[in-house]
Amino acid sequence: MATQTSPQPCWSCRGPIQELAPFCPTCNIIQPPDPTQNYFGVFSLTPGFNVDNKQVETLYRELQQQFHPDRFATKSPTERRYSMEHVTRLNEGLRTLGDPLALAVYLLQLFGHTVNSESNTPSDPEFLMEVMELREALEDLDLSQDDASDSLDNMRGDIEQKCVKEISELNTLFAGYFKEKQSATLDTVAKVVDRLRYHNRFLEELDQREESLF
Amino acid sequence: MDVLLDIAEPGQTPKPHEIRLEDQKRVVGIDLGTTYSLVAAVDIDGMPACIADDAGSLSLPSVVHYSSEPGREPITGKKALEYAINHPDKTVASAKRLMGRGLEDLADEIAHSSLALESGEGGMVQIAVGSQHISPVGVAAQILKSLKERAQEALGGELHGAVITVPAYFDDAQRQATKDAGRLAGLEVLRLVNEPTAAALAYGLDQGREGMYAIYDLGGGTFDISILKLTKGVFQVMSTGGNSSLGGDDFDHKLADLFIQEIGDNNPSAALMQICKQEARRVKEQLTESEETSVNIENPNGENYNRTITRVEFNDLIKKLIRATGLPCRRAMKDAGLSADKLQGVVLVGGSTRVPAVREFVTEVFKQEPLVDVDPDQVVALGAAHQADLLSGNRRDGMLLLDVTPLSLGIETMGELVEKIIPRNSPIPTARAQEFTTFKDGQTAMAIHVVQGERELVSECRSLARFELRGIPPMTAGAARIRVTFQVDADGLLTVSAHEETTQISQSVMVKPAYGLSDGEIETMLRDAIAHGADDMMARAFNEAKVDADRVLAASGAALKHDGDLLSEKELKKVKAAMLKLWETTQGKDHEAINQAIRDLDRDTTFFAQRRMDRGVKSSMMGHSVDDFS
Repeated sequence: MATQTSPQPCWSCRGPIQELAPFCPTCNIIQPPDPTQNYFGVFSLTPGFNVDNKQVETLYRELQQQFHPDRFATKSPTERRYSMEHVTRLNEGLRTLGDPLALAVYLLQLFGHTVNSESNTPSDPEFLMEVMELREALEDLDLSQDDASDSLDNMRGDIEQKCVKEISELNTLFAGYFKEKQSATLDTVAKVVDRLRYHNRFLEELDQREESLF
Repeated sequence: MDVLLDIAEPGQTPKPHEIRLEDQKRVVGIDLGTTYSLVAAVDIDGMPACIADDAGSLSLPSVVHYSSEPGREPITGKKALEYAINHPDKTVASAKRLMGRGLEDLADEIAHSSLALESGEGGMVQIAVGSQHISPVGVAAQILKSLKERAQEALGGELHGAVITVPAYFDDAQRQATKDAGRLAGLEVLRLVNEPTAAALAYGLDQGREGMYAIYDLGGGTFDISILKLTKGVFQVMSTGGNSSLGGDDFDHKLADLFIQEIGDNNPSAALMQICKQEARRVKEQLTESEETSVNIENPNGENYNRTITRVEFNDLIKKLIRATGLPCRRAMKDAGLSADKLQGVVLVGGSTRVPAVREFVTEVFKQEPLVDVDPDQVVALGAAHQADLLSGNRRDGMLLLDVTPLSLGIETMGELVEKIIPRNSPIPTARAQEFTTFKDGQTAMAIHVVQGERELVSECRSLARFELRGIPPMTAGAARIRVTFQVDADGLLTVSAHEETTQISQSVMVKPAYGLSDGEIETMLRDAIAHGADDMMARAFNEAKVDADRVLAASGAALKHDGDLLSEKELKKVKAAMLKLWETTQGKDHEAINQAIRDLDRDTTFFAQRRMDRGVKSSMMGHSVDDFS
């Protein structure tokens, strides 16, 4: 990340502002968020897949205390807008850093790897087989049975285990990438991301089936 | 002149002083309820209290009676309630259930209503009273106006603003309608706050309590469940759910239906239905205390009806309704990622939680006895007053509410399916974008249909807005990249924009869904409804200009303190003179004069800003070698 500091004028008092400073050192007014700063920068974290969620949440609350629109309710429209922009970014950052799938996709994007985000059919033939088997098992479930809820729970357990495994795979892969910067690693990451995305969607579908039981 | 330098400590108000009552902004919290509404304010010690009317009563029945003679002021509250029996068609109760709704949403409502409901502007429901057509927003505005007058009398002057509460499960249309009602009543709506969140704030959960809490809120017409996480004064809503058309009124309906059925009148008059409803409410309240009670109904067109009813019978009638609150509770816990045994406590809000069967059900679902130590009728208004106080800047104790959007927001895609863009329970404010493409060669327009809800089919979600993105340059199918951005603000209100990205011709469309009332209509209504409409607008423009002037003065003062040595004595004099001129305009009443003075000061300080930038560049280069900048 660039450490060079080029002073920008404060929008209000037009005094100099160091890059990424959220408040003007002269008049203390809120500055617009820097669009080039990534979520790791927003939360002052070292980029990586292994994010400490507890730490993120603590930082999130501290930053909310500074930037939340409630703190700017009596301020000028421009200050209110900047506050909203900061907090919108915080909320998106929290969501991205707190969700392994979103985080993996985000890291791939940061490294300039194209992400095929909306493909529903996996390109990996082996995984395609697994997907078809899962689908079949779900279709075969008889939701009118008394033990339907248990069957759904069993299925969920299996898939959750797969997700845990995929997340730990991603962890290893990213750790490797940060050390060696092999772009082939990112191709493997993208494949695991595809599987994790599919399993996440499948879990959502199970939730919907379960709700229909009540 | 030296005063001007003193007013400019960074981060401080121009003249630091003790907080005095007359300096406090007059702000209130309003619980706009289905059956009752309340207004509350925070006193000098930071304690919220509900404001009573002349007769000492805190709650205002949410009822408005309209005279058939046009031009006569509507009657609000307890007096209006007296008209309900003889003029049921001209007396509007439970208008909250109609807010932001169309006729087709209200099949159940129409069955129990003695009002002539009809489809109005923009597909929204309206009420025909004689020759008048009244919108639910207009009814809510009457109630708000009445509360505003009560508060102004008690607090001794014009209100600076109000926080209005809405059920957490209100959708965008219902929220927008509530905000419109506030504007129509001449209130500056500081924020819409979710009822359960407000309740949590008032509950004193802040006093050192930490952990996860569930707020079970069953009011007259709405049910909400919220799961909140409390950490060091931050109230973070983890998930929320509910049903915006389920409440204690439905208990009354069940009882009233039973009475009418037993009376044997197949075609009951509006008056009889009204009598049955009022008796039903009395019976429901009685059965909270006693195991059984007697029902006595004087039928205006037949025999009198008498019977005894037990709590067991009543519980049986409402069992299904109460059970219906179970699914949202389980779903909210799941969305928050926790089970009942991880909850520190369950808080009951809303008058309907007094019903013993409701308490039993809550205990069963959450596997613990609920907390009931604050009056469930007042708790929402008290919390809203607290939030209004926080927003007005009267106080800074670090308390903060972080809320979420209750329902998923998405757009219609091929096959009438919904593509979710912002999932439910996303922290707000938030913004998210999604890319879509054309599906036909040479397609130049794209219809965008914005919906809200959890279901997969468009027809099962609520339609919020439709608009068309035109002028897409003709390309092969799938080549255009149309980016649709959803933005939800801190009130939970949505703005949608869309533009095409591949070509230089980029087009942007903003959609603010309008629910039956356009901005123009609101302005007209404002002018008609408020005698001092114009004064209000002027006052608002002045306040906005003054906020800006205060900011500019503080900024200039800070700049002088910091870098004043860059100016010659003559230059310093000139800048100070411009500042003084601006300060003088803020003591007047003319917002245009303020804005002009701001522009003048801006012009007179341009060279100063340039010198400060140069100094900034120099100082930031100090300590670096030339290589650092290559």
